[in-house]
Amino acid sequence: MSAARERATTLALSVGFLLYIESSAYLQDLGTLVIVYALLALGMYLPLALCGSLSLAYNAYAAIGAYVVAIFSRSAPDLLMLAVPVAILISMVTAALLGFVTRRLSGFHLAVATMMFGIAVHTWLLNTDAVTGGATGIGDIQTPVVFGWTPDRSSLIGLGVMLVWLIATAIAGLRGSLVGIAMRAQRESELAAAASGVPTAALRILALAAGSAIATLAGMVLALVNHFVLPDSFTIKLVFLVLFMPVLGGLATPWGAVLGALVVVAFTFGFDFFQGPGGLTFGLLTLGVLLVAPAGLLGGLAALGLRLRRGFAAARVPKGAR
Amino acid sequence: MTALRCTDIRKAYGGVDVLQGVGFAVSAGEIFGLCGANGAGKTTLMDIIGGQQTHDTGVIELDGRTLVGDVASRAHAGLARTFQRPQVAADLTLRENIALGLAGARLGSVGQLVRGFVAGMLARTTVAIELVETAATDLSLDRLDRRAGDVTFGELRLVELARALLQRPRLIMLDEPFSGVGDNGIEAIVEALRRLRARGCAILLIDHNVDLLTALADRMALLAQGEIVVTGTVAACLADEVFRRIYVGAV
Ligand SMILES: Nc1ncnc2c1ncn2[C@@H]1O[C@H](COP(=O)(O)OP(=O)(O)OP(=O)(O)O)[C@@H](O)[C@H]1O
Ligand SMILES: [Mg+2]
Repeated sequence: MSAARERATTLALSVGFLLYIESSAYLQDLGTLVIVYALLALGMYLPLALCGSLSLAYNAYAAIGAYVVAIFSRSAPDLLMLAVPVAILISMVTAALLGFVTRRLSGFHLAVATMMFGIAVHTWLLNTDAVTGGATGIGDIQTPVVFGWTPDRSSLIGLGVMLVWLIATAIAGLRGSLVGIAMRAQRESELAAAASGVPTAALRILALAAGSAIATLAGMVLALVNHFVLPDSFTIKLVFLVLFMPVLGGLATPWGAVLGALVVVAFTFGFDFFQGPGGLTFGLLTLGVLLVAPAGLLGGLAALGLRLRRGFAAARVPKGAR
Repeated sequence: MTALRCTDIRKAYGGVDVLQGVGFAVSAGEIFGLCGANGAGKTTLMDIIGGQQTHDTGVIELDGRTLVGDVASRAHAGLARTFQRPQVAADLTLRENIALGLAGARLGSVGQLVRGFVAGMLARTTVAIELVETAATDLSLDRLDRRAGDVTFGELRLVELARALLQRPRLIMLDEPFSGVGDNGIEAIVEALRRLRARGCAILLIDHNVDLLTALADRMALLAQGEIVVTGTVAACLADEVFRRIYVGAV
């Protein structure tokens, strides 16, 4: 699909999604979850799919986004908008540091270091009552005033959907750019990339920092739409749920991560059938999809489309010509 | 003008001497051929210059400046190379693999990196397609949308060379660039190297094919047991007793 057509199609689908969830408060709740998961999955997708770097601190980055908003709302409500750059900066510096200290080690070390950090942040949120409110979290989070306009819940959700579209589109652009090529090349041949002059370690650190910024936005959306934050929204379980999404949807495009988020929410929260044994069913479902279509849902769909088109083309060739 | 100068390079692998004080110089606009039997240490020497390997003692200078630092910084100092076993990103297309040379050249500093990152996110910056296409066509490469993992070894050598050319190097090092390449490809490489030489690029060329090497090189050196045993103009080498006995005689 051409870049312009992909942008138009995904924009239309995003607007359609927004109109669909407008109809009830319950659907809006689910829609918010889709936005939050999609942003987290996109944050994970960027370093994972482009650079091959697996970071597992996404619960921590989301928590930074949510809690910085909550703390600003409690302590300095007039400066609430300032929470956005502050939280993003904290996350990016953290992610860059974690990437920097493990830059010469294997991907396994990065995964372990980031996971430990994520667990530590959750423990800290639970136990530092004075700052984070401990187990009960922080409530009464205010809505920011954007240039004199106070967005209501529906507008906030609309902004969230647009944010997902913007970021997925931006990552799709990055993939094909020179930096994207350098990222994907160093994942497969560090030797070739370095010999060409690509600063491979710096590139990986940059991708990790950018991914953490996107996950931070997820936490902010959650805090602003719900008006409260709880530490148990940011356990390590969140990371493993989100880890499925880009893989399930397909790693070839960032839209796979978004589709993965949508499927997870639809199956684990939307349908009664999956309510009870949801986690197990979902795990088996993912396994099934990956066995049938190793490239994920979108990858499988693309392969199917190609085969159908080839089939039609072959069918059009007159019998005698074969 | 001297582009590359190596002085007294020594290297041992686990107590075994591989290079025992190698010194030579390559001028700008010169093709310098390096030959020697299997295991003589040719690739090791190239790896040391490129930064893929460390060396024990000795100095490497490029354009009069000591060449130190990691592989990427040496590339930005003007060095490009290909590998004896072609190194490409198998899952990327030929076009993307060639464009990697442009990417590397344009992503030197952290500032360039961040700017390139933001530009890539804001719009689908069309990767300077013409440059990539021209570099490929010059080397008789076509159908650039193929995965690098799906093409022949010979084609990968051409991809590597095209990638290296896009770095606009001051010194290019080629490790057996002709092996596995078809006749069209060999002709294209020879043409490309002559154009590079005319442009003032220094070329260090390893190959076992003495006929090709002597036809192409300006000067050459024969490496044996980690030492340069014969060096000089091609004519001088071909007239040399030792060179004839060790190398030409052996082929
Ligand atoms: N990483 C390494 N560790 C230990 N020994 C090595 C290593 N790389 C090369 N050697 C040894 O160093 C010697 C020189 O190897 P090198 O690859 O430089 O030779 P070459 O001249 O390029 O040979 P060829 O013509 O076969 O490519 C060989 O004996 C080789 O076994
Ligand atoms: Mg060799």
